[in-house]
Amino acid sequence: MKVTLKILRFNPETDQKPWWGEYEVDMDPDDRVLDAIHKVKWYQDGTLTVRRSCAHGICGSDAMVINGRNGLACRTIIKDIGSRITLEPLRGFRVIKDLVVDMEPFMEKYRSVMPYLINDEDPGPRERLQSPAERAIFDESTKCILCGCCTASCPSFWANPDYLGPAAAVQAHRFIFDSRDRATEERLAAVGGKDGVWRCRTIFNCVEACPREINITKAIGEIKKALLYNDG
Amino acid sequence: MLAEEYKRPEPLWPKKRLGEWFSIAKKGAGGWAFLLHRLTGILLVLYLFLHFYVLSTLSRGANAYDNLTVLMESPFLLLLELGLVAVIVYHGLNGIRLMLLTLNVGVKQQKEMFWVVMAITILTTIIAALFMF
Repeated sequence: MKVTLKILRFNPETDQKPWWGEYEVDMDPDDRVLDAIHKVKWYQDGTLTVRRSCAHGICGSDAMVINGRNGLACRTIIKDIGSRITLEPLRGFRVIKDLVVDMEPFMEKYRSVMPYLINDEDPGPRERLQSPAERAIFDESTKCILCGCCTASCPSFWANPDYLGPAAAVQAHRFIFDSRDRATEERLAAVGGKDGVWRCRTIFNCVEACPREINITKAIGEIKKALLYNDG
Repeated sequence: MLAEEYKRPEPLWPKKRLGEWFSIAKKGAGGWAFLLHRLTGILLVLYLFLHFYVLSTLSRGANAYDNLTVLMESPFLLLLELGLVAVIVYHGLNGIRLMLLTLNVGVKQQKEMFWVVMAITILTTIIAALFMF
């Protein structure tokens, strides 16, 4: 099947403004969007810049706007979205080149929620135990691959790039509700500030965008609730 | 790279674009609810000033107020008032929906809640239209 790719191109060294590049490739309907991008890059235009690592929906490096919706190019099958495919870099981030955006501010916020287990207590001779019920509380949050689809779809983030963003909130949720973690207070303080979770306006764009199907707004809601009861 | 060393570079593009609010072609229910809530909110702020102006004519006597309210009988203004009913009902009901969501109530039913808000808004507007025309 003939597939037309329309890709928003931008090279900061030569271009003043982004421009649309159109490419026609012959693809199998079961191929993924990433395969089509590869075909363009390998056989038509080697200057097309894209970031991908594992190409199997685990590393989260090929998030982009596919036909107006955020998603992973390696997880989107061509037959599901038709033969005219429009690709843009993630919104709200600085474009480095073509489909590659600067994720550093995103990772900076990720680090700000202390995304690691904090517990100075002696675990004893064995590991720290946790019941299946305790684990289930934050199960969804552990699925996040930090692709940035959610944060790049969030109007609160577009309006204020200092907003923590849904991805970092999910990571905070993963540790705040972990029964083994002891830094709940510090983490709640980190996400409860002026640019923290209260900037969430429950728009649900992040839930629509998440390729891992995490109910992000619910996770943020649980953090808000924890903040409310913690202050009281 | 350590967080302290990192300086965020000035973006060459994209610049901040207001159009991004409207840019996701395939909006979910939550996205539409947000957009409508913002637009109706702006309209209500503008209406508030109009409302104050109309009421302020009372300070110049009952006649001044009566002369202005005669205008309200024109079909065009009646239509605007009908729009006002829709805007107020939507903004109020969706406001309740948003408060519930912020308190983490019914997050999984947010779409259904949006459809209920829309249904009540349309129904109320139709009933109001029957009274007005």
